[in-house]
Amino acid sequence: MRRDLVERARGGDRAAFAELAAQSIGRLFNIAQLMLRDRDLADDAVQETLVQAWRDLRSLRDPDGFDAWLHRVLVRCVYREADRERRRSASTVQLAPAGIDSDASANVADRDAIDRGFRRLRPEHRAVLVLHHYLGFSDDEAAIALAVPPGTIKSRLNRATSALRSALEADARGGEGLAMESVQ
Amino acid sequence: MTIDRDLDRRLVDLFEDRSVAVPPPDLLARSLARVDSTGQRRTWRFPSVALRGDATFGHPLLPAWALLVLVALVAVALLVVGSQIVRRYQSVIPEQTPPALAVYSTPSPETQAPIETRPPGVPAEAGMFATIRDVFAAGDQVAWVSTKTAIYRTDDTGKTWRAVQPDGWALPNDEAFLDADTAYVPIGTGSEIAVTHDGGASWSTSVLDAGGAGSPVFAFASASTGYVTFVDPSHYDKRDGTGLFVFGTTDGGRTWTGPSRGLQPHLKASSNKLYGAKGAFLINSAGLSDQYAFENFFDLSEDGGATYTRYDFPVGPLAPKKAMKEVVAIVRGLDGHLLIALGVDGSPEVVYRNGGYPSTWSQVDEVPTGIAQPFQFLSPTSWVFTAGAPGEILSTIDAGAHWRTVVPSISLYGVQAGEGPASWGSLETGWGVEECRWTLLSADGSPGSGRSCGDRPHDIVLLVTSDGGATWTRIGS
Repeated sequence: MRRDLVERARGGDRAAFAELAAQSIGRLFNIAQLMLRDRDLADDAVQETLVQAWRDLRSLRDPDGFDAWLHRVLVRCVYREADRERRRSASTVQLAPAGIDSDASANVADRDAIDRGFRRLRPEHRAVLVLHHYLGFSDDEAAIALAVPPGTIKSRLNRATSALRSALEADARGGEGLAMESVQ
Repeated sequence: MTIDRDLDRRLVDLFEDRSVAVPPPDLLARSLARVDSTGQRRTWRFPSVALRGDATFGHPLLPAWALLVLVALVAVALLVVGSQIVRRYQSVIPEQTPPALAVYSTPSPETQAPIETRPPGVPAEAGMFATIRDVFAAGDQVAWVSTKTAIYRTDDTGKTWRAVQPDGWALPNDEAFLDADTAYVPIGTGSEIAVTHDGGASWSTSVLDAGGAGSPVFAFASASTGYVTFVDPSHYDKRDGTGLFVFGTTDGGRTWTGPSRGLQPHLKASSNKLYGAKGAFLINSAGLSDQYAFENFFDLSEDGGATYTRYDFPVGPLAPKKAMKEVVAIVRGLDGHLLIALGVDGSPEVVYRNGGYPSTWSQVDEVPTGIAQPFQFLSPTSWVFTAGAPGEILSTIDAGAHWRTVVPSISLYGVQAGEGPASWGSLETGWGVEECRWTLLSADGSPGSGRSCGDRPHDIVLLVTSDGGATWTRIGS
């Protein structure tokens, strides 16, 4: 059924493409938002992905490879949006401790810290982490989506993890013993 | 909590926690509307026949493989002849490409009341800057702030604000704030430019014929003189570069000339083609990717992208040849030579002075080693930057011969206070952006509690200082 839709869309059937887009848009948006950490940027990236997918669909040789190909288009659009946003991205302020809190607060804080560290990564590193940890892609599948050799996925995952760990360490160092004074 | 806990597991938790986003309900419709106006590219496919040479394909006396070889030979011949034709054609291009320059007048009347008759500004509400995109400081009292919902301006260092965006202003276009009174703002689909010279009290507009392209970039040397540049969607990221439409003005946007056609050089390891100017400069430089080695040069344009000059990046102990580099800030010095603040991957930024040739750079000796955060040239001789944790603000008024150091009352770890989402209007007045957050660790590694500001995970507020960075005030908390 999906193969049929892809073949029809590849032949210029706009309704078939709309059906494919409707089936894919939720997943595309989720991936884009995880990589970009911004709804508006994700919105732009998904729009651009669907436009480019329609425009270049005839270049897709294997209809069964539509999903992998669409991921590749999405990643390219995510990179572009990330570039546009790079100079604008707000960073964070490290504050001083205000006491001991519950485990729940600690979990929230921990997730916040991971999130901040993740945002500081280069788009290529964010992309490979999302594909690997969120979508569960194998190295080969991630390689297709990112248009790089499979061996590069391994090294890129290592670098992304190291970069994330460094960001977390820097984040933690910045917070140690700092006194937040009232500025109101 | 320690940072050595299972990182992979924590990442999975984060993705699962943040992966419940539902796309905007109209996203599909908006996307398909754009699809409707987009044609499919035609592709040519080689016939799917096997090279068997059987009698069912080709002439009985000419097997399929021979026929295909013949076709290939003819194709090669056509390519050779075609390339000669293209070369001839290219030699003619310079006489054809500069199109007749059109002059666009300013047809629209003022759309808002004069500033004196408008209601007074109001204090910032909580969350007003939660979606901040840009801050531009103009002197000690005026600042422009663009968010995803409005453009705000203050003329009393943040005590009160007015929303001043022109009618039709819309995302995701970038704006250009040039001084306390002047701003250039794309409206509509982006090829219509609104200009104010009275702090947003009134706007005039011009429609530029950019071939349907939107999202312009502004490169202005002054409030009245500069360029607005659009990427040509029909010539994006080609082997020979990215096509640009360039319009110019010398009278503050009342009239525009153009388009002249620029060609931004193609760079392998770069997906950014045109995403912002630094003052009057457009910079084109490659990053680093797994497929391509770092390219140790950047292209610089001072005419909106119509022409580019290629410069080698400086190389030295603080800027190794293979380290990824980025021009963080740039200004033309009083002697006419370029000064750049160079960001080096994993290292502090360094200021270099160009010696007049594209490969001649010298490190400015007086710059303190270890510039760690965004750097801003207020003028060729007045510079300011904010260092990271533990946080210091260094400034100079004599091009680095002497430095003043201010230790802020709060940690500025991570606050950007140079180019980007924050800005210095003078050596005394600066703006920063703070993302509200949970406190994390106490000195002994145990979890902290409470929030710095706001009550949502990623609330953002403005910070402003009027004493060179010693004390800071939160706005919009």
